[in-house]
Amino acid sequence: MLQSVSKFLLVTFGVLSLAACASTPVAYTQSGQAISDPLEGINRATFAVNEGIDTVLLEPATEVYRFVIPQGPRTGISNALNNLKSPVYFANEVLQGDFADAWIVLKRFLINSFTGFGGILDTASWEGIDYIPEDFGQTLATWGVSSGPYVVLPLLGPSTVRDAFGMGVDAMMDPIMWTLNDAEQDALMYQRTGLTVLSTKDMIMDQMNDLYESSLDPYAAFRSVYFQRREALINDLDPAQGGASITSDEFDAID
Amino acid sequence: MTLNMKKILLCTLIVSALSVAGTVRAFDASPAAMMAMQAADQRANVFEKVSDKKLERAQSFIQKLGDEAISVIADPNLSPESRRDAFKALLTQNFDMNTIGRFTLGRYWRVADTEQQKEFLRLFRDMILNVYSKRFEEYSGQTMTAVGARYEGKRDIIVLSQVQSPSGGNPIKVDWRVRNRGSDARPDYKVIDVIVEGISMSLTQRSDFASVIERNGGQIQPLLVHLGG
Repeated sequence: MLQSVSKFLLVTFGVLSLAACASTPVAYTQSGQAISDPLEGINRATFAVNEGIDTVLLEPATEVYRFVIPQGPRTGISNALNNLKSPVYFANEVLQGDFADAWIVLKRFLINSFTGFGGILDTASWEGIDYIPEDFGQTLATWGVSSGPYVVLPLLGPSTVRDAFGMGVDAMMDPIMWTLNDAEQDALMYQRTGLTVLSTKDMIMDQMNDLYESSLDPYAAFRSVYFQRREALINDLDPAQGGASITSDEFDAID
Repeated sequence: MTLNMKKILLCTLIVSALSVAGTVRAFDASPAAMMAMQAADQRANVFEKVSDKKLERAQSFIQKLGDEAISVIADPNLSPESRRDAFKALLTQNFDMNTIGRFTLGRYWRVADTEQQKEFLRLFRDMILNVYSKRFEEYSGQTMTAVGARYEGKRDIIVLSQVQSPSGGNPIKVDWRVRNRGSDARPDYKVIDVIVEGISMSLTQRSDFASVIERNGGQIQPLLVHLGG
């Protein structure tokens, strides 16, 4: 498993060096960051394949998951999986030099692990301590690394060269994965991955279908949403951190 | 394990759980942690408590809009058709469709001739009404609270709201870009963008439309055909 992650990192690093030869931007994010998509041909093909897999495999599986497990326990599973990611969030907050948020992650982890039955109950959020997802892609962004070209990954979906690379680094720095790997608990590792996929899909399936149905060119709509969401996460959902907004200027120009 | 041992174990567990939680809170009260928390809180408080009259009005406009929308959806006496009609009337009255439409066409607005612009705005309005009324049909007991407001750009206000689902979990952040289409004395607020968790509906729509136009050799007509078909 770790070997395959290393290989994945090497490959994305190779593609990262291609980032320099980005073509003309196809669209912009709210702050005016250009979206480059020189691999659009391949990306559209992968997007179509992913959509097929989604329809025949992932959506039915998620429907079964929803049918078998009621809403309450499903929220619990999602909370627990998030809680298990805390070490990675924490490490990324520290790497970003955001010690205030690192403390919030640590506090959430302690409160939820101890008073939330191992993270099943998100007791920290009852006290207004909100959840801040961080990943290495965001860390790279705060270090000034630009997103690089848009890539649609097989199975995993929309990403960029930077974020795909970050995803690999996150997997490698996850202490839970290390522990399971050392203990040769491959089955547990795959179960956790499988449950994460189902739980994530459960959370976003309705919104994804809505976007798919309401857009003329879903590929372009998903690409736009991906870049906007990443930008919001990099700015910790605080528009003031994002600086100038090109969207704002253009709205101003309309009488 | 005897019953006694189980009891002792359970008690130890509870006590240790509580003491960890207690330590966390105690550390929270320490000066260093207070400073860290204040820095973190500033993020949550980008929207200061509204003290400005204009911001206050915009905020209550959004709260009222949300309350009205929910009362339409939750009214058991309405048939599905009349509910949809009431909802569309609410949207038409409170959203500035022409401004949203012009924004979503972006630089192609100037490429289009007057006839195409008119046709586009008509088709766009119909599309938005259908998409949004369908979206609101999936309503399942969420509540919306306008929590603050701030100025945005040269002439707009962003009202921040939180949508809480009845099943719990973190609230969803929904921001409303609002423009005053009346005067200062008689304000007439209209929504011109809805931003959900950082994703602008108008910007997404614009990327979608731009892609259709670009894939059809920069022509507006194919987009109109798509919207009409």
